[in-house]
Amino acid sequence: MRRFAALLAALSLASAQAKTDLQVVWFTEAPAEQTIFDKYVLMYEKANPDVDVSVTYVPFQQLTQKLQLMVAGKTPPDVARVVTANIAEFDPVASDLGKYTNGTTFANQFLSSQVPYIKKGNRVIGAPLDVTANGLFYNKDCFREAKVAVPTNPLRPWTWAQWRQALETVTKNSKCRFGLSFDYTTLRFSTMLYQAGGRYLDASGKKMAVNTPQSERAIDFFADMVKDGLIPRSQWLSGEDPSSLFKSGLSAMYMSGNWNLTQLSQVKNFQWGVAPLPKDKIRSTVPGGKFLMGFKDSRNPAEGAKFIQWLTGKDINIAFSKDNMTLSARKDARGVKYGTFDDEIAIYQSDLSITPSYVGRDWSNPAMAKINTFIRDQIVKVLLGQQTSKQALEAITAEGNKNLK
Amino acid sequence: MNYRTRKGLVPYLFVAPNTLIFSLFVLLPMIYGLGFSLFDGNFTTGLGNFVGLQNYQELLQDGAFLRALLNTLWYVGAVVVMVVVLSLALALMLKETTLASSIARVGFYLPVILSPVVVGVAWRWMFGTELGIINALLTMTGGSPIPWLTDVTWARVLVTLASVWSMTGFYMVLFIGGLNTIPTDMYEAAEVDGASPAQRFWKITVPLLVPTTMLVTILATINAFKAFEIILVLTSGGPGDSTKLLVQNIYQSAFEGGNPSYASAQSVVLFAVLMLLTFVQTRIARED
Repeated sequence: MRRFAALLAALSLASAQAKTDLQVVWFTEAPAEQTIFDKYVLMYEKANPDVDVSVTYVPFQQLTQKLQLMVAGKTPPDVARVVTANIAEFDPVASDLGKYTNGTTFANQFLSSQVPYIKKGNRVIGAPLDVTANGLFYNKDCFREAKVAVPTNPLRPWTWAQWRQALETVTKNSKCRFGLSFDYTTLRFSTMLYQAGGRYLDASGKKMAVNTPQSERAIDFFADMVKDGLIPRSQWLSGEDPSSLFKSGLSAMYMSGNWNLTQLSQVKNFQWGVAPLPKDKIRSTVPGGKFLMGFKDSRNPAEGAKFIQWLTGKDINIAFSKDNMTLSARKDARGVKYGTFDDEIAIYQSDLSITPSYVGRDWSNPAMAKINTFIRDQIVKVLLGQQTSKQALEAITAEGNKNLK
Repeated sequence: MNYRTRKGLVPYLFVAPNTLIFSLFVLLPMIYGLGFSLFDGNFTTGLGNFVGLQNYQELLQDGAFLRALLNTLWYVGAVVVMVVVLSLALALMLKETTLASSIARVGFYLPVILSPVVVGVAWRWMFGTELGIINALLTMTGGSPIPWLTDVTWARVLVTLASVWSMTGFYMVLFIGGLNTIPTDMYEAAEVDGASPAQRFWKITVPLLVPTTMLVTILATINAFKAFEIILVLTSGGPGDSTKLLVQNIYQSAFEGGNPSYASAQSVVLFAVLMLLTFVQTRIARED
């Protein structure tokens, strides 16, 4: 009997050892994301009994550092959930999905705005998990109290002047003391740069093209809103969290993006909605996204590629997007109804559909990841009155061209 | 192995574990960092090409690095002076062991055991420009809010004060220890000779506290050079880069700029500055 038990234990140990251990690094921005992903991990393990998925959850702020150190230490994960800046940075060490499936057919499943991020020559270095769009949240209670109407049709949004006027009126006539919470990122600011008709790179992608009167106008308009107190100074000058201010009900609007839908669904102290982005010279948002990528030096790149294909496949990806309230990056997901927030999602989709293609090309260029912080620092110097917008653009151009070389 | 050899090996065996840990986790990374600073590598390519002193040459023309270095020197100077003066003053007031002084000592020591992140968050709650308690009180009492963390001068002052507040208690304890080693009969003899309290302080306390003062100065200097978390939470190095210190600049160069070789060169410079300062301080102490 004892021998039989030992044999059973040895057999179960052997079968456990035979399992493929799939290492996944998954960043989260809200606790709910972890619960949702756990569900899909279980589904994958059930469908693939020979695979054991080990997930390392990291907060978004620590993702890049975590991956950099894993790659430098030659222990990269098999799969990582990354953002646009990461996919460009880790391109040299990325696993080529084209080795495990038809690369072109695989890439063509996704929206054309996301393809430049993953298709590098003949290689496919990742897969879009979802597409993101910058957008404006607003406090419905405050706008109602101030009797200011918010456009509902994305085709007829506010102009910049109307937007500013609305913010001024709401801060004067409602309990919202602050006009606009604004994420402290270059990407979010860039929404305005593109709306003003500016862009970072020229058509060749080899030279900066940001030093224009249009870009200058965007910086000046933004700086004026900070100077006049419509955007709280502390958010861009001392790292105060913009989302907290909006969630506390003190800010009339919040410039962020669609990935906040899940988090904001927890807000119960006021009603909120999504407003179409205002327009200046043109309408534009900034498309971005979350991607899945594998690493060629990982222990199980083939299993990693299989997992990536599974999670970005039609049925699973659409279900995953609905659970997370994110926009699927698959072409065949267009028009899918989510059941909740359908009106809000339609606004993001409208903003994305009208955004010029050069916006995505700008941000898929690896040089943008390198000068991202530099651009933000130059804008802050304008806010502090240490330089003009023209000087900021000259500095950004010089730094960008250096990195493009 | 004879008895004499075995006896001679004993001291080395005692220090061996510490030497091994120090070599593995401090010395080796230091040597690797020094070597890495001579290459143009990054996280994905590894070491990259040998570039000699090019990273160091770039440092000399890098405005962000020079500003961070200047900010660091300014911050270290202010913090060390305030810490030494305040901790000595507290130690003098609380050196007698009574119930009240014991309670006060615990009170002043409490910030030391708080995580720097907690200190940063607490100060941000108090001094936040838009949502801080102090500005809310000022507004309620008819005053105007003060841009504590969004004005360059105020931000520098607050960052310094928060750091001083968080570390003074620790150095106070060192000073109390130092004060207790001074023989009381020296004070009694000076009192009999008619020395005033000020004379007793300058002629007895200060000279006999030199070793403790040097220790406090060196430790405070090293800690101030390594300051990171409190400032990151309180101002993120802002407004602009007015409170960004060298350690934050190194971190950003490595992990945000994706340039660990360049960050290594900055770390070597920081190490050299610290070595130089420590050397000067110990020389002064020896001469005294």
